[in-house]
Amino acid sequence: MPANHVELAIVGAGPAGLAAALEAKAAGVDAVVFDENEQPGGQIFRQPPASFRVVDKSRMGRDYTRGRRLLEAVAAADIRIENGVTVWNVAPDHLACYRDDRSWNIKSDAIILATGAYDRPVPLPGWTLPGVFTSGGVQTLLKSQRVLAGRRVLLAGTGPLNLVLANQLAEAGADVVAVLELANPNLFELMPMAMGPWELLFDGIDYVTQLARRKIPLMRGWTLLEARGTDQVEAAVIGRVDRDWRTIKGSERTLDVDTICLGYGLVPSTELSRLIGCAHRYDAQLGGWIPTHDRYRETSIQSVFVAGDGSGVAGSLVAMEEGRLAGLRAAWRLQKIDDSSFHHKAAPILKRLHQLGRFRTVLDGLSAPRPGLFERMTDDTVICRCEEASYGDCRKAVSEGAVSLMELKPSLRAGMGMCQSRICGPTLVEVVARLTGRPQEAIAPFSVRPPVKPIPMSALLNQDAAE
Amino acid sequence: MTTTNTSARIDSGIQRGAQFRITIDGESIIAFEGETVAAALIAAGHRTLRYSTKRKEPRSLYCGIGVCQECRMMIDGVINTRACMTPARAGMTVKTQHGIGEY
Ligand SMILES: Cc1cc2nc3c(=O)[nH]c(=O)nc-3n(C[C@H](O)[C@H](O)[C@H](O)COP(=O)(O)OP(=O)(O)OC[C@H]3O[C@@H](n4cnc5c(N)ncnc54)[C@H](O)[C@@H]3O)c2cc1C
Ligand code: FES
Repeated sequence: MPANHVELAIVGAGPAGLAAALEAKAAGVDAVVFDENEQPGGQIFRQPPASFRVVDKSRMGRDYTRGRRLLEAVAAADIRIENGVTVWNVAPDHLACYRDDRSWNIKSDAIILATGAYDRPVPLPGWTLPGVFTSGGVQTLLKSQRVLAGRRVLLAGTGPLNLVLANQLAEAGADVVAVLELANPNLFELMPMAMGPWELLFDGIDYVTQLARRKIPLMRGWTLLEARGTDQVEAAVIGRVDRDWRTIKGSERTLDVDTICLGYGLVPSTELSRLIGCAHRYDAQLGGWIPTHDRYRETSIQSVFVAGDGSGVAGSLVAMEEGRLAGLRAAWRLQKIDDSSFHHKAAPILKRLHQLGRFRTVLDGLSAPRPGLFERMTDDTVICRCEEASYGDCRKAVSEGAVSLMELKPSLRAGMGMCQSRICGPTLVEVVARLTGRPQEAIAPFSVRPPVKPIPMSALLNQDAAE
Repeated sequence: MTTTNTSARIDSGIQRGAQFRITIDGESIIAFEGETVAAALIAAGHRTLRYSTKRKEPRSLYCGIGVCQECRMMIDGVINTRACMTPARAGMTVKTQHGIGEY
């Protein structure tokens, strides 16, 4: 039975959450980390399940090895991690947890939200067909489950994750047809500059060279226009794009594939920071709407902190430093360390964050979404996968006067589905901004209601008494 | 139901946990301890996990990390259970979910 009070509750056992826990624990804080995955490590350090035995570490990749190191440090520090636990509700002084048909509340004096990010959804015709996956989803199957999602695979989108994944898929035996990279050739030729941060953020391997060695075409300035098939994907229609990522007419080609991986960069998971009531701001470079915070990662609510990709997408190295900072600041709030001790320990972290930040600008410039990205939808294309609201529904609502996401809700039901607008939300902000001619900053995200992830009614009935 | 042989388990580098069986719409398939329901289904070539409510279109795993809710199935009698986040257990009964949960 879990204790029902902790000094510091951390949501997310990725690099940010684990680094936060290590710092906080070292400062004498009683911290507990909650994560809905069965294994700690978050997205990049995703580990195989405990019942799988790794017999050849060299096959598991560098992230596996680096992840093991972090997890060993966490184990040595005797940090409590509650795995397989979904945090479905949150308030400044407590959270509600769910596991195995049971729900319970935990009181906490401070909270760090380190909920990470997920692949940016980009609607286009056929994107709901079975066999069209996010790149992250296919990588997760590969890394932690050792299952290959398909045989003849096309990757499309932008950014380094697709290059990493293409190599991993080929190594596992898939036939990788091509990697389509939106960034146009000129921009891509900035590589000496751009490869610096990519390597820094994504492992020190030259993925482009590896692709060439494997004879996998890296098609720069190309993208997926449409996925075709009846019960599942059978073909991909691809085409060239201009600098703004708009389709160049007449360049269309069709490829036979059974699997498509879509990776357009990441968007932050902000449902808990929105639910708890933190102030948010729009930042295209960091992935969209993100919680505001001070220099030491405290949000607009005292004793509530944010760290990692969930507070702005910046990769695992930045996530770890932000986690450390948040963990330290939480310890200071909880009066475990004094002012001077805090500043003494925070100084080197701030310095490293500053150094990492310099590379960020180049990276952002390369893969921040450009206008053409949201122009491949037709009226029939589903934007909201839960309620099946389409681009046409959205256009109609805007032509009838809707200028905000809240005004789309009644007619579209978008944002009211099971995913709590995680899928439709980021797209609708862009689409409504374009259709109404207003800036994204003026299009506030949907509000969030508990439960942030679906939990069965029976668990609510089984709820243990609070306090 | 969609069956293909497009996917496969990779055996290099790893020894899986105990092997057992689960059923999908009454059909028995192999799963290993530690696998998610979605991984076992996809490895068996079973990609369609549910049919959408309005258009009745097949849907499969999309995000793979518990975010999108596209993989909702009826697992051991509980509707709207995410196949990508649910570990398979011996004898589990999995059903393709139609719409909001009738099957
Ligand atoms: C699928 C995927 C694959 C990636 N692959 C790579 C890669 O190969 N190389 C690379 O350099 N970067 C990769 N990235 C980016 C990298 O994962 C991130 O930059 C880094 O992991 C960020 O760390 P984080 O701690 O902020 O978040 P994460 O590592 O995402 O951890 C957040 C954790 O919070 C948990 N969580 C969120 N909400 C809840 C809730 N309500 N209840 C309980 N738990 C919750 C999640 O389960 C997750 O484990 C990938 C990202 C994704 C999404
Ligand atoms: S595939 Fe997205 S929640 Fe399971």
